[in-house]
This record gives sequence, structure tokens and C-alpha cells, in this order.
Amino acid sequence: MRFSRLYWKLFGVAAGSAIALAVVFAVVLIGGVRPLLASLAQQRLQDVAVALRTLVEGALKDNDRDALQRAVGELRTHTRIRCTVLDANGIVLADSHGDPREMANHGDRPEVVAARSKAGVGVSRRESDTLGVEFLYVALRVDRERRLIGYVRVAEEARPAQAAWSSPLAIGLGLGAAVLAVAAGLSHVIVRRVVDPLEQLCEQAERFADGGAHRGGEATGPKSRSMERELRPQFGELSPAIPAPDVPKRAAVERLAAERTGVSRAASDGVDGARTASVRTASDRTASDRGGFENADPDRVGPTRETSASAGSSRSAGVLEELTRLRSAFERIQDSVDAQWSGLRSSNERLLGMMRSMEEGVLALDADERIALINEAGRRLLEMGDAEVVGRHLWELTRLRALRDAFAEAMTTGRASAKEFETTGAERHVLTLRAARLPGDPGLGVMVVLHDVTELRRLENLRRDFVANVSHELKTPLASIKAYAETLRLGALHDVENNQLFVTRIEEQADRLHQLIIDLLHLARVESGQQAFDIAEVCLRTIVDASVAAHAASAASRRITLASEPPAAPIDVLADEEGVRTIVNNLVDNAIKYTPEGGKVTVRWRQDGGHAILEVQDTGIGIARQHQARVFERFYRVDKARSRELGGTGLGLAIVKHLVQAFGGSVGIESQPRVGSTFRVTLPLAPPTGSADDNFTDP
Amino acid sequence: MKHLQRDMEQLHRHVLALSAMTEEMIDKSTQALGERREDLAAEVIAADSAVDQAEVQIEEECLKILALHQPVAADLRRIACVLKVNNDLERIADLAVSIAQRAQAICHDPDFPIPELLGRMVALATQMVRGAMDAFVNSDAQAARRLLRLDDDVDQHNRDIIDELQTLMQQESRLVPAALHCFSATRHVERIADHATNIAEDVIYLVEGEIVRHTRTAPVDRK
Repeated sequence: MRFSRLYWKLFGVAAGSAIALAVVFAVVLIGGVRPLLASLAQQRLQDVAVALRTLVEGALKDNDRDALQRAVGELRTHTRIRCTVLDANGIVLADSHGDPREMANHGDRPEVVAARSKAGVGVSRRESDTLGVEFLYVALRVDRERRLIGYVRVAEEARPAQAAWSSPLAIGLGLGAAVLAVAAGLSHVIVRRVVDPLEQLCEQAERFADGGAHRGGEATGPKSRSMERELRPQFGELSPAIPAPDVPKRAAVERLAAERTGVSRAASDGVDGARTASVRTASDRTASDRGGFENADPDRVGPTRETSASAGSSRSAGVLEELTRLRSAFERIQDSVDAQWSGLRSSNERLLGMMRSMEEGVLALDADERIALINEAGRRLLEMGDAEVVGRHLWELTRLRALRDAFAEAMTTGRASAKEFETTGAERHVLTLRAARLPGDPGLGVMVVLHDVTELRRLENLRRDFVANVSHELKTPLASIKAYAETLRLGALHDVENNQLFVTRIEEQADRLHQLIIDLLHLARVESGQQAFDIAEVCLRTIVDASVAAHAASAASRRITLASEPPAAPIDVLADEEGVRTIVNNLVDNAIKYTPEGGKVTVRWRQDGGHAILEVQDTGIGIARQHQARVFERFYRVDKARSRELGGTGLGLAIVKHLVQAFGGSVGIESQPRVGSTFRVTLPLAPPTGSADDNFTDP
Repeated sequence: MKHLQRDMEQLHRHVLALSAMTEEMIDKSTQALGERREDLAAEVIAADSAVDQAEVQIEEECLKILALHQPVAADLRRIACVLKVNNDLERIADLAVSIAQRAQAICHDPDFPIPELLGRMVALATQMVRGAMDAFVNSDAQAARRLLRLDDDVDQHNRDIIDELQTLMQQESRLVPAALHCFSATRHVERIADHATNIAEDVIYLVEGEIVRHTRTAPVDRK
């Protein structure tokens, strides 16, 4: 197994300090115990010497050699201490381990020489002349009445003391070695536990920084790197747009700056100071960078750049390069994450902008029928208001069954489903929806696109109705003509009383057919904008008077009072004269038709701002509110049977509406069933010129 | 606990599906009435059995949850609320069917002018049902309380329409059968609004644990 430098550092420190401790301990112990043992041995010998002195004092005085020899001989049997008694001149009188007579004069022995001095005690460690091994000697002078009478000397082999010491020393050293080994093992384990995750983190972070956002450091390389390259310029462009860091972030920047100055100051104080300071800041920054990474906050770009700038100085410190590596890896990660994030954000904003401007409602649902995404149009079409809807179940938010059915269908079958349905509520919309399952197995969700086709369907209905109506209107007079012609052919031709009547009817129906076709053509021309109007100043009075005169007969026949109420001053409008004539005629004709006998039709007009307002009021059957908006549609009849009976083509009001619109005016209706209706036409006024009077006087 | 949550969610989903069906039925039946569309009326009548089945299913689910999980506190209140809302919804669907039947009858009498107020009353009642179900979904007691006030407007419309119908019947006796149909349709709409009120009250109970039924000032006696 290969260990990192950090491992060796930490392990070296731990193991080295243990060894150093052990060595110091051993030195102190060995150095201290040896003299202690030696002094103990010496003390013991000295004590024995004192005892021996007391024992032999008498015999020495008497110079009784035998008694002396007996005393020391006795000692020999019980102890291993060698005892020697000397007389004042150093002649050996008795010796426990040898024959005194054969022994040389001991007066020159160092211990005896020392004992002769005032202190009376002599100690010496040397090799015995007689036995040839190292001995410790202690000699005492023996005085009697202030006169030197001799010496006692005791000696002991120095080796046994050494031997007694060596075995505990061996045990101690062995034990120490064992403890050292255990300490080393423990340090290894602890250091590994600290270093390994750091190592892994470091490697992963570096792989991540180099390889992009793939977990576990799969070999990703070129693609993500190229993406990074692609995003980097965008990021550069975007960064000015990023708002300035707010106060806490600025504080963070200042803190980092302060730390940097702290580092440089410490560096000037000395190498050690700089080392600790930079270690501290490095780890601090790693922590703060990690925080930034987790937040993935693009606003942090400022502070990050600051730390990158200071990275070099602390890297050169060379302490705990794992942490430094980690930090720089994190910086790279953060840069790339920032870049990717802002790239994603801008593309996301583009998409959202597109979705927002779409007229179609777009709705993404996850597999659990929760809303993942919805655009403004979708909210509007589904009447969801401004409430927070993302993440909520669709079935909580809308109870349109079609939508939920489409979801279920798309989700289960995987086929796109299209539906058309009507929303409930006050305002009915016809919506088409298309639901398609998002790719994946079992499917990530469903994408729904909604389209409001209310207007389209209305126009389609209008067209369909128009075709149906027109064919019906054309068929009715034709059927009459056919019936009368048939009757004539089958014999009525010779019926002098009735044949005239039948031919008249045929003529009438042909006229009606003619009128219908004229109206249709008229309408078609007005509608298509092909008709060239001769827009000029038109005097309303002239036209109303002419129209009233033309309708006087038909009104009189039904005992309807037809009156016009002209304003005080003449009013000219800017329109096509023929068109205005048609408008007034149609409205008056209509009013007379739907007013029962004995009623009244009034035409009045007035000036209102920049417009002229022409009203045709009747006391007729009126129009219910739900029909009012539709009476201007082609062939729209409130009461089909009655209207046809009255001989209308169903196009009169439609023509009025289109003409008025062509002249830049508007048309409105006020009506109450059973009371009467008022049709109101607004037309633009002619600019005030002197020609008004000419028109007024014109018959 | 997971199971209970899943079952509750399922229950919730089913109640809202029932609500969707019911709202659709009210909408169609009133449309059939206002626009004399027999086809819509027939659709409403046909949809009733599906609503009945859904009601039974929801009730069984409620009982199953009560028996299996023995829920307490908020969950228990929600189940109790669902049981009642379920019942109200089914009744509303029945009323929609009745309105559809009246609409069919009125379709045969094209001369009868349907009172204009009826459209507004129907819109109000529909809004109440929808609002009550929205309040139920969002557990919004405030919205539920706002709805309670609308009921008085519906009652007022009901009285006005009945006055109008009385006048009409006095004027033209041939319109009496159609007017009577219209009269009972109006009553049904009024009943729908009442059920919506019940649901709103259940929602207040669900959220606040307080039973507000019968505590409001009693509505003015109907004619």
C-alpha cells in the first residue's frame, strides 16, 4: 500500500514523539538507577563495617588474632561480604576469605588510605588483587581512646548489584518496545482514519473539477469540458449583469482580505508563524468555499475570485497540501458550477420567456399527475389564477374531466391523445388539448398543450349556419314558385278567377328571390371590402325624409305612425350616400315589420361629440337580451316563423352592421321584450364647412 | 401510516372526480334549460348512474379507511367531511337531473320566455358549488365563509323569479305548464345552492373543527 505524504507526516509525528519519549525515559531511568543502586550497596557495606567495627573492637585492642579470625569466619558463613581486619599499620589480622598471614600489607589500599584520614571512612571500587573481580570496598578506622588501633574493611563483589539491575532493565526495555509498537499501530490507525477520507475527497474533488459534473468520476472528459468551454464565455458576459454582492457577502470578502493580510504579516514574523497562519486560513477557506459550493450561488463569484488570487501564496507554504489541493479543486468546481449554472439559468429564462409569450397553454405533468410546469396561457385557460400551482395535483386544481381523462389515457397507452372540450362556468371556452407522454419507461409524465378554439368554432358555426340558412332562404320562394307553376299547369291556367292571382304570387316570390340575391351580393361586397364607396358629406335629413316618404304607404297600411324628429341644426355625416340610404331604409323597414298595428316608429338623429347618432325607435315586440348581440348576424332570426312570414331576407341588419363598420361607425341596440327596440347607429360627422346649407336646401 | 396517506389521497382524488362530474352535470343541465338543448338534458340524465356508483364507491372507501386505519384528529375529520360532501354531491347531481328533466319539458314550449334572472341565479349557484369544492381542496375556511353569504343572494333571486313567473302565469294562462316546470327548476337550483352551503360548512368544520351549521341567522322564509 502506498501512503501519502500527509500520512507519513502525521504518522511520523505521532510515532516519533512516542519513540523520543521512550528514549528520554530510558536514559533518565538508567542514568538514575545505577548510582542509586551503587550508593545503596555502599551504604549497606558501610553499615556492615560499623557493625563489624563494634564486634571486633575489643579483639583488635587485645590484638587477639584468633578471636578476630573467628569473628570474621563466622560472618563469612552467613553473608557473602568479605570482611578484613587490619592493624594500624595495615597488616591483615583477619580475613573472612583468605589466610591473613599470606596476605600483603593492605595499608596502601585506597580505601584504607582514605580511612586513615580524619573522616575515618574510605570507599573504593576496584578489581581485587586477590580474586581478580571488581569489588566495592569500604574501610573504617577503629580508634580506641583517640588512638588508631586498626581498620575494618568490608568488600562485596560489585557484579551481583549490576546483575540484579539488568533483568528489570531488560523487562522494562522489552515492555517499552511493545508499548511503542502498540502506539505506532494506534497512530497508524488513527492517522489513516483521518487521512483516507481526506485523500478520497481530494481525489474525487480533483476528478470532479477536471471531469465535470459526473459522479464517481466516470471518464467523462471531452464533452463536459467542451461544454464548460462553451459556457465560460457566456458566463463572462453575464457576470456584469449579476447584482453586486449584498452586505453580508461584502463582509465575507472583507474578512477574506483581512485574513490575507494576516498571512503576509505572519510571514514577516517568521517561518513558523507563517506556517500556522496559512494552515489556518487554508482550512478556513476550504470550509467557506465548500459552503459556497453547496449554495451554488452565482453571486459568490466575487469572493471566489479573491480566494483564487490568494491561492498561490498559501500553496507555496507547502503545508498540508491535501487541503490546498482540495481547496483549489473546490474552486475549480465552483467556477465550473457557476458557469454551468448561469448557462442553465439563461437558457431556462429563454425557454420561460418563450413559454410565457405563447398563446397556447402548455402544461407538464409528472407521472403522479402533479404539475411540473405551466405557462401563463395555461393558467389563464384553466382559470387557475395566481395561486402557486406547481407541485400540486392536477385533480386538486381543475375539475375538467377531459383534461384528466387525457392524462390517464396518455399515461397508460403512451399514445398522444387529442380532445376537444368546453369549459364550464360563466365564460365558456372551447379548448382543444393534445396530451403526449414524455419519453421514458414507465413515462416521466405527460405534456399537455391547450389551445383556445372558441372563436374558431364560433366562426365555423356561423359559416355552417350561413350555408344552411342561405340554401333554406333560396329554397322557400323557389318551392312556392314551383307549387304555383304546377297548379297552373295542372289546370289552374284556365281558371280565370285564380290564374291571375297565381301568376302574381309567382312574381312576388321571384321578386323576393331577387331581393335576397341582391342583398347577398350587397353583403358580400361590403364584407369583402370590394365595394368602392363614394365617401362624401351626406345630409342625414335628406335621406331620412326620403326614407320616411318611401315607407309611408306600408306604415299607413298597418296603422303605424311613422315620424321623424330632426334636430335643430342640420347634421352631415361622412359616408357613402347610397350606403346611408340603405342603412336608414333597412332600419325603418325592420321597425315597421316588427311593430304591431297601431304602433309608432320614430327616427331621430343628433350630434354627440364628433359623431352623429341616428336612432330608429319602435314600439314593437322587442328582442330578448340573449338575442340582442346576435340579431346583426346574417340570417339570425329571433323568431324564425314570424320573420319569414313578414317577408324579411334576414340580411337587413347584417348589411346595416357591415355598412356602418365600413364607414367607421358602430351600431347598437336597446330593447325590452314587449316594449320596443331602439337601434342606434353612430356615424362620423363631416368636417364643418359651408356646404351643409346647400345640402340642407337640396330637396 | 404510508398506507393511510395513500388511501386518503386516493379518496381525495375520487371525491374530486365526483365533484367534476357533478359540476359538469349542473353546467349542462342549466345550459339545457337556458338554451333549450334537449341533447344536453339527455346527457345529464344518462350521467346520473355513474354519479350514483361513484358515491357508493367513495362511501365504501371511507368506511374501509375508518375500519382499517382508525384515523384520529384531522384525518378523522377529513373522512367525516368526505362522507358528508359525498352525500351532498350526489344530491346535487340528482337535482341536476331534475333540472334536465324540467328543461326537456320546457323545450317543448318555445313560446315560454325563460326569466332572465334564472341565468344569473344559475351562475351564482354554480359558482357556489365550484367555490365550495375549491375551498374543500385548499382547506380554506375563509373562502368557505365567503360562500355562505352568497346563499342569501341565490334565495333573493329565487323569490324574484317566482314573482316573475306568477305575473306571467296570471297574464297568459297557456304558459302555466311551462312556467310550473320553470318554477320547479328554479327550486332545484336553489336547492343546489343550499347543498353548496352545506359543503362550505363541512369545510369550515374540516379546517377549524367547529360545527357552524344552524348557527347562522336563519334565512328569510321562502315563499
